[in-house]
Amino acid sequence: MKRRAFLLALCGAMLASTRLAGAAAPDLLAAVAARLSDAPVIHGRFEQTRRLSGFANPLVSRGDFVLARERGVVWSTREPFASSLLVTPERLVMRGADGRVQQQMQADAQPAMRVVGESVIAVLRGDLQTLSARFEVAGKLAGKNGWSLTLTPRDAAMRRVFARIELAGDRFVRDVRLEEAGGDSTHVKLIDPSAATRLAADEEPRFE
Amino acid sequence: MATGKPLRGLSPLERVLAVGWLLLVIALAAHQLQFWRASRLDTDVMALLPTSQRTATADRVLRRLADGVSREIVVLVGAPDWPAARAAAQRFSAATQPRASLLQPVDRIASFDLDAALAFYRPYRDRLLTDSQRAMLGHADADALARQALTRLYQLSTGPRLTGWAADPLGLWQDWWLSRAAMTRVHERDGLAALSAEGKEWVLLTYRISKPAFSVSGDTDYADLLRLATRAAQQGGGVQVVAAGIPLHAEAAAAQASVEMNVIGWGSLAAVLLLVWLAFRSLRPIVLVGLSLLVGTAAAVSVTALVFERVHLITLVFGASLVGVAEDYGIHYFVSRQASPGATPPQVMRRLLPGMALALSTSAVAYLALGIAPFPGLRQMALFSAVGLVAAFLTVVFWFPLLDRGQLRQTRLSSWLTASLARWPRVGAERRSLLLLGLLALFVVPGLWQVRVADDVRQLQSSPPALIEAQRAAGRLLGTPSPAQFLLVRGATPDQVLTREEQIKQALAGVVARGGLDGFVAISDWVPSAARQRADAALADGLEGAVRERVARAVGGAVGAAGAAPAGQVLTLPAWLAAPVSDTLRHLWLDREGDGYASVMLLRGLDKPATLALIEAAAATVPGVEWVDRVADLSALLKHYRVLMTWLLAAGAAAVALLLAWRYGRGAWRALVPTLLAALFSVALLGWLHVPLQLFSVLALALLLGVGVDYGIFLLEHPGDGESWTAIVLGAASTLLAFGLLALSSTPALHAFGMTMLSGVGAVWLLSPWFRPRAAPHGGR
Repeated sequence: MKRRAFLLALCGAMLASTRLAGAAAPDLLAAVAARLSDAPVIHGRFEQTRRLSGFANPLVSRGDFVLARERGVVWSTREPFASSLLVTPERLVMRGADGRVQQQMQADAQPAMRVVGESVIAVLRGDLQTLSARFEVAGKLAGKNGWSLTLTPRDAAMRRVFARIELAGDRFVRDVRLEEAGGDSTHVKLIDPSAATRLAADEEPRFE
Repeated sequence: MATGKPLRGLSPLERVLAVGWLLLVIALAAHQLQFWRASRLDTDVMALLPTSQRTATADRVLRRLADGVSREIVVLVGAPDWPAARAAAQRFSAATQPRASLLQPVDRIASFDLDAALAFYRPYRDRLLTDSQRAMLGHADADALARQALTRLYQLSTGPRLTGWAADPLGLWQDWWLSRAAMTRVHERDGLAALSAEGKEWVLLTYRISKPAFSVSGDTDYADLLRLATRAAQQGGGVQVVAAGIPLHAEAAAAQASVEMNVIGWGSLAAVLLLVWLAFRSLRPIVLVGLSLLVGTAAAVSVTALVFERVHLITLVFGASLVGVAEDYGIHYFVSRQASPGATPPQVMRRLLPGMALALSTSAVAYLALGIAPFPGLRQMALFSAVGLVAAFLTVVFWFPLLDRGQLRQTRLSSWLTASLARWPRVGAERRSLLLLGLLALFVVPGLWQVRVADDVRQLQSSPPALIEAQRAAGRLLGTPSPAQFLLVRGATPDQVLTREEQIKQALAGVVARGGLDGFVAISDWVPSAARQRADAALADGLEGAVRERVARAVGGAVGAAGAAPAGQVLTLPAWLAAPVSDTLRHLWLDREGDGYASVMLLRGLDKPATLALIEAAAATVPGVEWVDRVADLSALLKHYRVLMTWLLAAGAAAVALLLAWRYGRGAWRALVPTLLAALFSVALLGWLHVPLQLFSVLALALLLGVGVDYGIFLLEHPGDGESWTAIVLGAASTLLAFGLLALSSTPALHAFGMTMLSGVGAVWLLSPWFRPRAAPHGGR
């Protein structure tokens, strides 16, 4: 009798645990999304550290960024070499220090660009809905406001690019680690992000 | 019916011939059984077209290109936005799912192994440059390139790199792949093959058929299933579905031919038998005439199958109209029997034989004239008809005297017809004749004025317009190059072929830049010539080394050397052909061709006619490159034979005129003029109906000359003889009906043929008695 009750309890526990594991991801996503700001504009500074195979030293760059909902992101590297990158779902434009376009890609001509653009924006905004379409999301909440997530690609195309993406933050995404499939890695720290209701006058033209 | 002395009145020779013919017919029946079981029928329009030494390679290419997709059906599901298109495509797939054994889905995305392709090309990375990279690197300076490289290194990482930075510091390889990917409009999206075009998002679904699309029964399993799935997909609003593929054309052709063969064949047979019944009111003529037609048709099918191996559907559709012509001999025989109750069947036959043999030979010659043009399709039709006529004729000659017993009474119809000739008006220098001639001129002259000529090989295409439109839409959306227009590149060695491909691409770069052409599908895009690979490697390696060095200095510290590739070694064509990566393009390599090698280059986005001349001119500047335009070639050929046949027709008319003059002297015009007027009348009718005059109408006119003059001959031969008139009326009525039914065919060529014959034979029939000579005082034979 006792033995049977024990077995039942065990089964119940197992059922409960599978149910918990199955439910964890959507709950977690919702919880993280609730902690994230959905401000129309987020700007701040960044420090990026890239470790590339074949390079003895890491490449460290600093600058500032502007994220605008529905528009995309402008990534302005200030040092060691000035340049800016505009990423929208439709296009990708890189400008040199002189403001001249160095490289441009249109999603119309190269549909793969759309995935890249959407993913970059989603990572920086912490747009979990978009990301969970392409990545398995696991992670945990930390403290009262914090959270950290690990994204692993769902499909072969994405696996060709990333081995893993790690995000951490609170109201804002503050820390991004991109582990590329080829072994290179990038660590981006977003510093002093702040929300705004609209783009500043000098920020607007950078999205053109 | 049979009497106690079945062989009464037959000579020994006649008996031997009758038995001999029986043996042949038995052999025929055996062959028929085997033929229909094997179903060696052809639906391919290509099979109807001529080949020659000059075009043999082109046709081989065309067949090869078609073979690759001959079992493939592509479906494009489009909607205003991607989620709607994806959902519609899912509904479509779900609807075809239960019949997956019939229509097997092909996953194009999963079947392309990008990783394997990357691995295959990786050792040759620096030997593969795009045109714009080559131009850019040609006058780039290492300092500027190094600055750009540093900018990118310190920018936000935007993901995909196909190699480590050091292996490809200029990021050349990725652009090379992107420009390869840009050659197709189809890209992967959410695991589906997708494209954006004409303001819509599309999902491309590919299927492979599991059973032959062609069926003698005329079932349309594939079209039915696709229609069902299309309805499912269209449950969402604004969804458009385009289904195309060779199997659908084959299936439609088979279904249509099945209907047309039945309508024309059974329709004319029913009409012939009804006429025979009305004229003779006896079962015997019906059975015997039916027998002669059966033997004629079976012999036609068998002999055509033996000579051509495969019988084309269009031949059978055309051949079905034979029933309306081959019945003449049987009817002639019974009309004569009816008119001379005293003579035995063999006596009647012996009396008729010379005239019938002459009529047979003129008709057979007229049919065989169709085969002058070297179109296998026309030759099949010519042979089919001539054999059918001869076999029906022999059945009448050998068997009718044997099988036909008893008497035939005059019937009301035959008496009325016999008497009707005397009541028919005759042309003369009086008001009514002049009025009629005036009216005829009023119809014919403006009609002829409106005649336009057209020589379009698509006249042979019988596919329903909706299917052709779907095919065109799919081609437009997918940017599929036409398989009938291409560049044929020859060279002494495989590498020379590749070099020449590169030269013609260079020569056409201006046309591409001006938008006359989207680009090419060429092997040299995937395997550049050895010389080009070496030049590109030299260009890239020098600059990459310099950039690597400068970047290393700028970031302070060493940058590892490139993943070294075997120097001097290039990607070769045999290596490429042997690898799975060449699967989709291997058919472009023709390998040994004459005493060298050859390949095919297809042209993308070739929809501006003005571009054709530019391409032809550019092709002429590169040795070994030939511009092949099969559509234009074949249309030119159709024109050539239309003109040739027109002259032959004129010569034939002159020959007939001489023959008639020799036989009938000054009265000869009475036999010829009705046919000539009828020919003018039918051409004028084409003008009024805005049906262009083309080879098939001219061929119909040739047949009309052969058949029409006969009516005049009979009336001249027996002036005032109502009996020949009865035979003419009965024969012409069934001929008219058979060609009238042929005019219903949806194959433009057969339609034109039927139309021309219908109006021509109808006019001859009405005009011949009008031009008949005055009745002789006593109608003696």
